[in-house]
Amino acid sequence: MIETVSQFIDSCLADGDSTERREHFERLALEVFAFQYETVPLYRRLCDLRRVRPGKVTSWREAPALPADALKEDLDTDGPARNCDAPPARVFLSSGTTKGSEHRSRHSISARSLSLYRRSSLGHLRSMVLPDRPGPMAVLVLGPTAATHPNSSLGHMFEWAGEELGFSPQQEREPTDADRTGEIGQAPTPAFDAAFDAEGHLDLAAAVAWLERAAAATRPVLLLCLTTTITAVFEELRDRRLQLRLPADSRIVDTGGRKGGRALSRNGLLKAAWRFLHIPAYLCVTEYGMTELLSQFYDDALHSRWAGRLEPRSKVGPAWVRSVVVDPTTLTPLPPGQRGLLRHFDLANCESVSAIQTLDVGYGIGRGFEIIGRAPEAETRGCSQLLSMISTGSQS
Amino acid sequence: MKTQFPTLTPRTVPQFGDPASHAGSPSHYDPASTLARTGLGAPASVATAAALDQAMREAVRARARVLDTVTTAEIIEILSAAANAWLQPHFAPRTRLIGLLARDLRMPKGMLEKGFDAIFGAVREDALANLVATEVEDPGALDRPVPFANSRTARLLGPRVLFHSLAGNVPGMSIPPIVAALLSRSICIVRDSDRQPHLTAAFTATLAEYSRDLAAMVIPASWRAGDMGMEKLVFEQAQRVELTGSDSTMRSMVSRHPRRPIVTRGSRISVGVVPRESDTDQWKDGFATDIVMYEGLGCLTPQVIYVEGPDRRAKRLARLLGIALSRLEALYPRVPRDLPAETRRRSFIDAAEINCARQRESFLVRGRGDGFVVHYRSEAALGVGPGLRCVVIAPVADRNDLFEHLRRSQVPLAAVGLGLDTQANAWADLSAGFEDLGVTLVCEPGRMQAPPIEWAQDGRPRLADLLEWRTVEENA
Repeated sequence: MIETVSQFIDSCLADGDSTERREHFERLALEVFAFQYETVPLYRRLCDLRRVRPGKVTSWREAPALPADALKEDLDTDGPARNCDAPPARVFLSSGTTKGSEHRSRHSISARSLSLYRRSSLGHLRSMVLPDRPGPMAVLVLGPTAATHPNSSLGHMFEWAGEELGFSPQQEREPTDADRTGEIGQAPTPAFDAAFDAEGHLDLAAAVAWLERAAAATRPVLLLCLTTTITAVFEELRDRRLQLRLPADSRIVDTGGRKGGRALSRNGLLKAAWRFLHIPAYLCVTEYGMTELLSQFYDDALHSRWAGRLEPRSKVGPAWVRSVVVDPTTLTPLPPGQRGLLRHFDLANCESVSAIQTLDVGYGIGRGFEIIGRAPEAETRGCSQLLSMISTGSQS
Repeated sequence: MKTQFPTLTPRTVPQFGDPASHAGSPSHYDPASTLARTGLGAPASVATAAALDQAMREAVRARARVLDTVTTAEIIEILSAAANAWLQPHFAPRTRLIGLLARDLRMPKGMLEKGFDAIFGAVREDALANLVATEVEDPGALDRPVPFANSRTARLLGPRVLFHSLAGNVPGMSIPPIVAALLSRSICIVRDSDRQPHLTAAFTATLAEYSRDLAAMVIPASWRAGDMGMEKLVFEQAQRVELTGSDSTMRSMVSRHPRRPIVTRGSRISVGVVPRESDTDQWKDGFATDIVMYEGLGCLTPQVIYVEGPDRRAKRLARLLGIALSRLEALYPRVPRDLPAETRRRSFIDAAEINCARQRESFLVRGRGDGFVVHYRSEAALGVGPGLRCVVIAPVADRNDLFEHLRRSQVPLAAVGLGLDTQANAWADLSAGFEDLGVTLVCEPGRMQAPPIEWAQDGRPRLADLLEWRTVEENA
């Protein structure tokens, strides 16, 4: 099944979305559902509880969605992720910032799924963040990497993005033949820099120094960050009374994460990006992802601008993902604009469960959805009740 | 010997929207301020500093008259007469207010009718007299100064001004505090939740029909969250502040007034218990009522029902409870609530489904469209559920197991619905055990949501907690 899905993802990356592709998605989604029903016992039991079987399902929308919380414990997969002799290649853990470290979601994936995750995440990142193909960029990671946080799905994405897209300003030179051929004996050239260590500390001095050097160079910058870390950098620049002018086409990918430090609002972040780094708002792209999915969603502001469309910002997933906003009471899809819970069907999850029901609150808009926040776990209550608190969630 | 009074009749029969019904009321009950929008005939709640100042002046004068001329027996009679008016099914303010609450709280009217009967039914003359008799060491000292230490005289009184800020999840939370405040001759400023701002004002309007002075001592207040000016003003006026609400709201308020002693009534949890010597079938309807009432949003809703004995007893109760809940669903259809509440409910259902998928002995009994959800599971930690007609049923092997579960509760306990005949030998032992764990209400299933007026919420006696011996000078 994973080969079929891989081929589909590759064809989407090569040709983009189309009516034919959408029909193909529907067919493939049903096959994936049937495969997961057979191979993931927990999911099969859930489907049986809801009296839904593969033969009865005619659309991805009808496939029972596994609550994201179910991934706090192992899925007990019979499928390839477990049938192979080797242990899972990676176990991604959520940060646990929303529900505490004892309630971290875990997503075990095989080596093949890891490879699919790389293609999926990089493919959509290129499409949404680099539609103008600015070429190799100076990449600074202000967040986890696979090296510092091996169980972080976001860390892997940052690392891969840095490797694929990065060109360190510290080694501002044209690639040599050895670089191109990857001769044995050559030390690998780090393609990106990071200012975030394994303990989660951000090296602000190093980050600011890096930005100062990047501002003096000509290569556009790609900042991969959490909201809290980029906020800290802006505050540092403010305190030092520094206003840098990064090269044209520099951009920021903000992956959220508002806990563990101060975090600017969306508008505040856009203003600060212009004020301190000279990066316009349309080059600040927000990413939304979760440990439970192997695909991500991005603000389509930059993509729409590049395509010549004038649309309200919305989060858009790749062609191998479908999302719907559902009513929490009835689980029926809601029309655009109405707030509800986000449900995703991610083909890249084919070795675990594709249909994931989140507790993220959002609404449909434009070509995708906008996320408002994450509903908190049931708050303790007595003769009291607080129902209006929404906290913003983040990918691990 | 208690003074006997003839049956009280109101000066005028209160009619909603009838300005004449408030003729002669104290100035802050100006008919011109009647809430035309609600048509309740109730005065507008105090919302500005000027209005509060005026209401306080009236209240202080009224309190002086009450201290001089109104006895406890009279207060009891007046309160019970006013409450009795609200027990009449066709009492216009009641029917109008129930309509408003049904809309604002998203609760079926029938449920609110039942709730009003419980709220105002608790304010009976005998219950109030019993409250005074049991909680006041010298009831006569409520009416007049009595000899005290050092050849002085003193009187048992509550603080001059009390302030209650109330949560809005269940209706009628202001009534017991008003009763206690008036019995202790305190001026009572009551801030209802924005979600149900009318009941206190409406009840006070009825009270005014029997005693303008007592009504003037109750000041319904209402201001937008974040109006720090009003909050500061009220906190300065009040000698005692009681907050009921979510833990985070109360933390926030307490932090704004660090030097003021504040009584907080925070999160609590309740459970059901069916002991081994009891028949499970007998209690299904009672528990169903407790689960459905006020949509399970109060602290007296059973979140988990523990059934002592073999698993089959708990399983049977789960299934029977499903039948009872489906009957109540037909009677009081559930109205979906706002997104965060429904999301919490969905989270509970999701977790229950996953638990059933993982553990074969677990099962769910669900109503049509998930109108109710009973989750039987073999092991259940005591935690707060979403309410909204969702409940967990779990077996416990024996008493030790039961009390171990209760001891491990994440939240302080409020009530236990004990499925046992009150005359049974085990009742007293079990009640004592629950009280040792901080439980303040032990009652039969079906009565959990209708606590008696003397219920010592959070372990604080309703009336005795307010009263202190005060000399004449202190009382001025």
